[in-house]
Amino acid sequence: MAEEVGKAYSKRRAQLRREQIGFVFQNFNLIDELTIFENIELPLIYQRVPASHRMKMVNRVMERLQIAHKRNYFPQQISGGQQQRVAVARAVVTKPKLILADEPTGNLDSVRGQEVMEMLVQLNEAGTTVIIVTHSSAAADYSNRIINLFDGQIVSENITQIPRS
Amino acid sequence: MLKNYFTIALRNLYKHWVYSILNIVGLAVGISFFTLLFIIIQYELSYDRVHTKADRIYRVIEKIEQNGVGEESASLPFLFAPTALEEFPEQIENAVRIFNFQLFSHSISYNEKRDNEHKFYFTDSTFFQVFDYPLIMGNPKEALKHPNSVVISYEMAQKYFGEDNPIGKVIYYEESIPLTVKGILNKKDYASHFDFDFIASLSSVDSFIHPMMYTSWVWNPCWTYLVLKEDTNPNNLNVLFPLVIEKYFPPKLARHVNIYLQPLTDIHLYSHLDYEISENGEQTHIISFGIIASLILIITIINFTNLSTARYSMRAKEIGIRKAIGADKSELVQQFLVESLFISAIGIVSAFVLIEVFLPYVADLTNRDLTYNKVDKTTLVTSLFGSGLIVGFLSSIYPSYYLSKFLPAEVINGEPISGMKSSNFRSILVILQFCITIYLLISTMVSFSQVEYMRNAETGFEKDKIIIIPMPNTSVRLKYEDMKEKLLKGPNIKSVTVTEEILGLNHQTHDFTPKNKEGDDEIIFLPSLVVGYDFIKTFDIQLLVGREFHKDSLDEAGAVIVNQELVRFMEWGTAENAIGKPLRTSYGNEKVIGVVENFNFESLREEVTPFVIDLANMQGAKISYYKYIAIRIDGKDYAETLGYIESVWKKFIPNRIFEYFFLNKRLSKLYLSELKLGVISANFSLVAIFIACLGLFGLSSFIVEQKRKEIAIRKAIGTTNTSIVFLLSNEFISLVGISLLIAWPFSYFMLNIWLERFPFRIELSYVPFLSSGLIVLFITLITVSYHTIRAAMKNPVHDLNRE
Repeated sequence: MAEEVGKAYSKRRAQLRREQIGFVFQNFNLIDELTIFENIELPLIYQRVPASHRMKMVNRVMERLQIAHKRNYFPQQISGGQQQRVAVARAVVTKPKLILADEPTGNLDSVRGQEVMEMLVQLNEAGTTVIIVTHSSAAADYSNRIINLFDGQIVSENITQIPRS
Repeated sequence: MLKNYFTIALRNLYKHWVYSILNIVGLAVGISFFTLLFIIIQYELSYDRVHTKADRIYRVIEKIEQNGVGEESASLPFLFAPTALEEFPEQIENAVRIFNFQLFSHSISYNEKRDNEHKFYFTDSTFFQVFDYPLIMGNPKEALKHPNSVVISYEMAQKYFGEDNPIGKVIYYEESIPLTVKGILNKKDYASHFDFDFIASLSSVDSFIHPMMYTSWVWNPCWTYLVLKEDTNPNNLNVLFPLVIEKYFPPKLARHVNIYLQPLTDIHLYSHLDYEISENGEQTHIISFGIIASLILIITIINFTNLSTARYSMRAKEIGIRKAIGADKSELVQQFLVESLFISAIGIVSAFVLIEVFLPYVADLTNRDLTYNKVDKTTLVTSLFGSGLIVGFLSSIYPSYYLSKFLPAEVINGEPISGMKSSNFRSILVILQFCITIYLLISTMVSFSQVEYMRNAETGFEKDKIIIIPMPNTSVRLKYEDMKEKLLKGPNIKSVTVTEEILGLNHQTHDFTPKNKEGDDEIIFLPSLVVGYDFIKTFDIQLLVGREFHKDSLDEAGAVIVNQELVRFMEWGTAENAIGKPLRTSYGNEKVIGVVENFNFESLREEVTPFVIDLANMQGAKISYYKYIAIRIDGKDYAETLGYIESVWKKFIPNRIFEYFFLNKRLSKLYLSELKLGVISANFSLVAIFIACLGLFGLSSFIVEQKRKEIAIRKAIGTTNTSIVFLLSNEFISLVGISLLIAWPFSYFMLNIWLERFPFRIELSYVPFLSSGLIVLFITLITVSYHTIRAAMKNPVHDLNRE
């Protein structure tokens, strides 16, 4: 992106978040009053994507993440793993250049956590940069570059694979 | 985008249905009562605008004044209208006079049906050329063209003729004058300062009026209206009236007379003259209604703001998520604005229903014949939509402002919303709301006290044990002395007298010459009442010096009794000194024979002015002045007393329905308009309190939510439930305290200004101030107790774990 955002106006920052960055949170942060479909659709609405396009894009991403059958459910009606898939779907539906994931497996059991990590790896292989903050070494192992932090300081860095880009 | 906003708005309304109902009810009640007041104000302003020439029609006023004493009369001499038409043909297009013998009631009969009617008037044939009162039947151009014609209201047509076609039917006025019905008036479609059920051609009663009265420039019984020509400026006509005064009025009177025009559309709200045709409205009441309406709207906005704030605080997470995925400030503000307006729309629809339900009640409160059909629909829709959208818009400004301050990272992680945690602005809103409520409460209590004071105040004459009987305008008045003799023989009757007007309600102004010499033409018009013997005795008026009228003392043409104020006005020195002083009238050289203590011969809204009590002397005068018999009873066995009085009436006046009233009941109606104002402000104060409570309820839940963690920690370390309730209520108690400190001096100041209008008034006591404070405090604590007690009883484990 090559842009200093620290001093950018809030409008520009909102625009950056909207167009270039997708977020995945530890506690999923889906809007309870919106259905799965509507939650995933929301970033596209803010991007002013026409309704017919939005439908296609959301459907495509739901199928890819295997949550299409839950489209009319509300977040509290599906499991944690499924909720995190929805969160990932919402993060990627706008095709961002960067996904920021904050403990994406923190609230999931190991099997569901694994599924989510595999999904992020696939996205990364498809060309999206994914930055994950995690305490879990199992989750960290999926990444091709690990930066270890201790009390806010970088203590080590290992590149497990050659980055794709 | 809009669809998304509506979807989430609807689902949130459903999810937090308690808040949604509070929000919608508060809004609907607020804007509907605002609109009800708006409708009343608009209705009051619509008086007399039904006439196409309304802006060219003027009523003529006659002011006779000397050193601040005299009269400002709404009516003029018979000759004024024809003379003005003749003198100023360039300026005046048309004129009409209305006349009712200045009588309380008129006997009307049709076959066997007979009743005393109170809204009967005679008028010129030009009546329907000047005014456009709508007729259901009959041709307004022809209706009053000929003598012995009458136009009656639809209600009277129903009363006398039932289902029959009334046109062409003949009714009898005072058993003697036949009047043919020529038109039916539709009273439902307009508001007018002049309320009539019968309007008959003046030419029908020529024989009833003494020719001297017709040609008198002193007697002024005709309400006179002029239509000015399109290009006439009323001020240009006002400056010409002195020519008429000089040319026609008796010279000794002319010096003190002033004649001027009053716009027709100003009469209802601004005119409080002597001899008004009907009681008019009060401009100050319209202002009060306007103030109450604005206060209701302000409280509604505050309530809506408080509830919206509470609602948005529960949606911090959603706002954070929206920000994270790229919504910018303006989009969020837009979303919540749409939501507010959406709720407003539901509120507006509900308000329509509330207005239909409450309109009859409010119309009754204001004593106005105001039905839903009569309400101007444009006003209704404009006011409802206007106020609804203003509330929706204004009350979303404050929450929107804080939305923009949300830091998504904080709210997503469950941090409390920083901007909303401690807000002076929110406290200011609540204080403002409390201040309005306290002010409304205090002013309601004070206005009731003032009305009660006026109703029960000592007026200086007996009013509780007095029965008044209006006499018909016929020669039967000459039988008064015989009737009196017969009445005095009855049970429980202590004294009987006769008066020209109802004491305490109305009086007349008569001309007197305070000099002895013949030919001295210094004339003054003094408030006075022509009465019969035993007046002072019957009304138990305190005689300071001198004596009451005696039959054997030639008092009829030689004596008057005056009040202390007249002695002061005439600069006669002491009351004793006043005895024997001359006050010549056209009937003879009268002298003061007694001085009475000042008493309130008018309402307590007026100062006591000089006053003369005079005896009617000639037979002709007795016919004119013996209008009301006043009977003093001892208060025992009303049924027997009234039965006896009626039997005497029937003996003397068999063809007329017996009509009577108690003086105190009639006088208490004097303060009806203040009483109605009190009742209205009481009712609207309740509405204001109700709306404020809804807001407080929402706000208390918000504050409890904010302090969730604090409560949990306090409980975990062992604080009692009571001290938690106290801790939470404390914030509201201090807000009430601050509000009282602001509202008390403000109310004291405002109410003192209001009370200054009354020469006879209460002293402001601490009671309404203290009780308003206690009421507001009590209601506040009850309202917030639901949330505070619930919060205190809650198990802290849940909230601590959430953190």
